[in-house]
Amino acid sequence: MSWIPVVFIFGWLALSFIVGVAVAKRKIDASQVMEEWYVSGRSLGIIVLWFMLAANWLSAFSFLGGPGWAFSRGAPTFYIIVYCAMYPIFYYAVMPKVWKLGKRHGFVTQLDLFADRYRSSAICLLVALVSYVVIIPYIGLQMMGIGYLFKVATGGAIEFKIGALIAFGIIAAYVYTSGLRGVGWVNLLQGIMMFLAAILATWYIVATRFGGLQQMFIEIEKIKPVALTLPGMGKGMGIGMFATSVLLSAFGGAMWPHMFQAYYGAKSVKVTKLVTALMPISAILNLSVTLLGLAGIVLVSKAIKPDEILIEILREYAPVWLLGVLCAGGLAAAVSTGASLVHNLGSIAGRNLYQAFLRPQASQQEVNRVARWTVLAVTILSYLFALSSPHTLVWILLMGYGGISQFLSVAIGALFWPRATKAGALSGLLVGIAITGLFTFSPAPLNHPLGLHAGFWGLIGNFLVFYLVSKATRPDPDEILERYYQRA
Amino acid sequence: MNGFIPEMLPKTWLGRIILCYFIVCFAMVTVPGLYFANQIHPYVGGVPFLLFWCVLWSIPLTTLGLLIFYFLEEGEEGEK
Repeated sequence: MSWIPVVFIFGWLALSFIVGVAVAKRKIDASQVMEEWYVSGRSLGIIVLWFMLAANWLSAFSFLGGPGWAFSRGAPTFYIIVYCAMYPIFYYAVMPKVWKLGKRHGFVTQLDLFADRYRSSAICLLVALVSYVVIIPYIGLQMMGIGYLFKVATGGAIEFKIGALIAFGIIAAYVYTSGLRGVGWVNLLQGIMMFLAAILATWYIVATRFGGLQQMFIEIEKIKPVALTLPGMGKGMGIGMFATSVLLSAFGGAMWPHMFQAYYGAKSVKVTKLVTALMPISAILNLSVTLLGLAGIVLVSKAIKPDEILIEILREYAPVWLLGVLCAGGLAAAVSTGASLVHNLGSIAGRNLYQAFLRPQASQQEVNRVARWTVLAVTILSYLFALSSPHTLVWILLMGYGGISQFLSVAIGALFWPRATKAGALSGLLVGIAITGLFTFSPAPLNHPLGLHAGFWGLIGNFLVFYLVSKATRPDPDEILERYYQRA
Repeated sequence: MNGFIPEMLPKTWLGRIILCYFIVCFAMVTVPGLYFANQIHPYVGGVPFLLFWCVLWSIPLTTLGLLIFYFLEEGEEGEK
């Protein structure tokens, strides 16, 4: 076992911890406690916010699972590059208004917005429930990625469960201490490391093993031409599934609650716009790791798990220091996403469950305390999930991702449609979740009918019911609507 | 509409043109664009045509569109 990757990993974690704790503001006005921990006092500038959003969006799945898909399926992986570059179009339309409303009304979570617009406990509880059910397994998946990287880097000396525990112990510590400010600054570091690792590793492998991109693709074409067009290899993905997956991920996937919260942290509306306009560039990371995964089709002939392809290529064909950099990059992808997610669930618990339902008169300090303890509780719970049942995690995540996408109707109604009502939003949400679940887990022909993504069908049902029920029910009172829309 | 204005579609010509541009970007990387682009040859920039097509429409052209929109919007707000 070489110690170089181990040094990279531990050095990187130590740096993350130091930065994450050091950026915490020591003296905060009592009236600013909540804004500081939840949304970094709405102070984030272009660079920190860009890297934070990019690092939030690009998870361990993008870093390890994406190349695994490229290796095992080929061209269908291009959909990840496409949706990662396309979701900012939707965000450009949505996030400046989200930020303005947040600043005007003091919102610090996505649920604050939904709760204020629809005034419905049922919507709040349902959105909170879906968020928890989806996000805890998602954090568990980040832990699994970290545990795997530790195992690889140490040649098995540090087991999966110890590696995941160390990394998430550090995350919980700095999120507890510094809130979104810590997440933002650490994600800036993580983002830089992820890009550096992915681009460097891709350049090295393509240049040294093939002598250039075109030569690499010519060799892939000789061995597996089917990998370079749709539907690709193995289970494959037709154009219909590709298109609906892009649409669902770019619009529905954009509903992740921690992304909303990150935007609330922006310094100004101008920052939200410029950051979003530059966000498609982050898909270069997906492109890099996809190229590495495709290189594996030529370079790796033995049977391995697809998710291990990146590490396998680097272990076989790159110097050990580059493997260390790549492990640190993978770790950065998992840590950055994991930190934002635990912070978000803590925020929901303090603000939208404890304060909203249990103790409306609670002070900011008390709400913050609940949020911080929830960060620790969520970390432990996710860890137990990751240890106990990885297959269940993936199953829940498959279902849950469709669930998060269904927030789309609620958000669009809240932001742009004065005629939206709480009955419409709630019924649309329930129908969307039910259809997505049915079409995700039923056997053929109900499984992804007509080759289109189950979540896409869920969204169609969701929007239809949302529209019809909203039209059929009494409009919300003017005093709510004038907080959101201009008068005619 | 209830005394309030729905804001789902852009109100200015500039906004509408940009919206059309983004719809074209989406269409190019989904349907019908992929029916045309789903091929290996010709190689462009050293990569198969499908990959080139997906990257072109999603990374540089989307960024460019968003940046143009951003600067035009900022210019308009500056004039106001």
